[in-house]
Amino acid sequence: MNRNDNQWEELLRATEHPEDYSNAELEELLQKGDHLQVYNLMTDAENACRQDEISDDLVAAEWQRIADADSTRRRRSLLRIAAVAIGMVMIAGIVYAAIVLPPKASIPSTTAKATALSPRKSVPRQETALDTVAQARPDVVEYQDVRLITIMRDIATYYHKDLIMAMPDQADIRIYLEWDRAESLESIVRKLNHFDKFSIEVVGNQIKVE
Amino acid sequence: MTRKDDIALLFQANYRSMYRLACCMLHDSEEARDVVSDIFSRLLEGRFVLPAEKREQFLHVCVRNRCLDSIDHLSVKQRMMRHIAIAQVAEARDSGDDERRLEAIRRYVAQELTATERQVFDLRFHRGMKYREMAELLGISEVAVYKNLSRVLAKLKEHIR
Repeated sequence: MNRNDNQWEELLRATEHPEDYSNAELEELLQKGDHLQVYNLMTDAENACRQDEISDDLVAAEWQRIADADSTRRRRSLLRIAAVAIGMVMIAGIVYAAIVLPPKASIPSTTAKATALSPRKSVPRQETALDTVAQARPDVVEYQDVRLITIMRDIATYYHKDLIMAMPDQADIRIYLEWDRAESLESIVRKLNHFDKFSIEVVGNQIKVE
Repeated sequence: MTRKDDIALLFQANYRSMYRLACCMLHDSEEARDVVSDIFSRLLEGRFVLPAEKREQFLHVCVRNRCLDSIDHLSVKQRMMRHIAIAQVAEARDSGDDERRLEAIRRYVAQELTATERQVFDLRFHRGMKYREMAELLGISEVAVYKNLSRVLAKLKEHIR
């Protein structure tokens, strides 16, 4: 019997019945000799036989689904913007009317109302303006509570770098980040390095997260 | 041509290969479909911009990254149950290499394996039969199945370096 026959028998059994093994046992098994290489070769062999062909109709239907979802999203977006714009015009009109209309001694409540309105309404107006500016910046990607590895992969792909995550635990750290793709890689790395839980450096063609 | 038309053309040209890549990585056709669709949805939303050159390659890298993201949290056991590859070095391979390697396997199996070896390969990797089922079908012991399959894998390993 060939040396490999005995060597790989356990691996072959394990690939068919991984449920019979603990995670640690499987990890240990894959670390033996060339087991990991052979296991991956088996997945390659399976992939080489895969027939994941899909029909033209399915491709067309899938595109329609994505395009429809996008149109709906855009319509909602436009309605939101329209609502905000109408709101701003109304607020501006009220404030304008309050300022331009001559205060009448007989109705002091109008002036009081305007004074009360102005500072209170100026805050949401400013927020609305900032929000609109953010939407008008197509290069800005906002990540809210997103895994570090997802963000780093996007960044690495965008700047054509390889990503090295030295510590797998860091992959699951969730952060908030506003990434302006018009910025240089160095600039976004500098920004990310303000976080305490990891440090990032660019070495040649690689982005290393440690 | 509008931006949406441009993306539609990219979709037509690349959807199949992107879907195949995702299927190979995830071994789950529904999840593969979601991954690829999500990439095009994000593209339409303008959440990322395609580079001026090598756009197809970029899209496939996106698929790879999304799939890696999706299987990152799976344990070795879960990956083995789904027959998902376990990377020796994270992010080491690109999709072009993958397709070349798979094509090399197909060619080698078709041209170099003996009829018996090809049958064993086909039963296991194409038809996904269990070792016991293969033993019954071929009228040999399960140990003999291991032995035959090991020989096939040794040949492939030697050829696909």
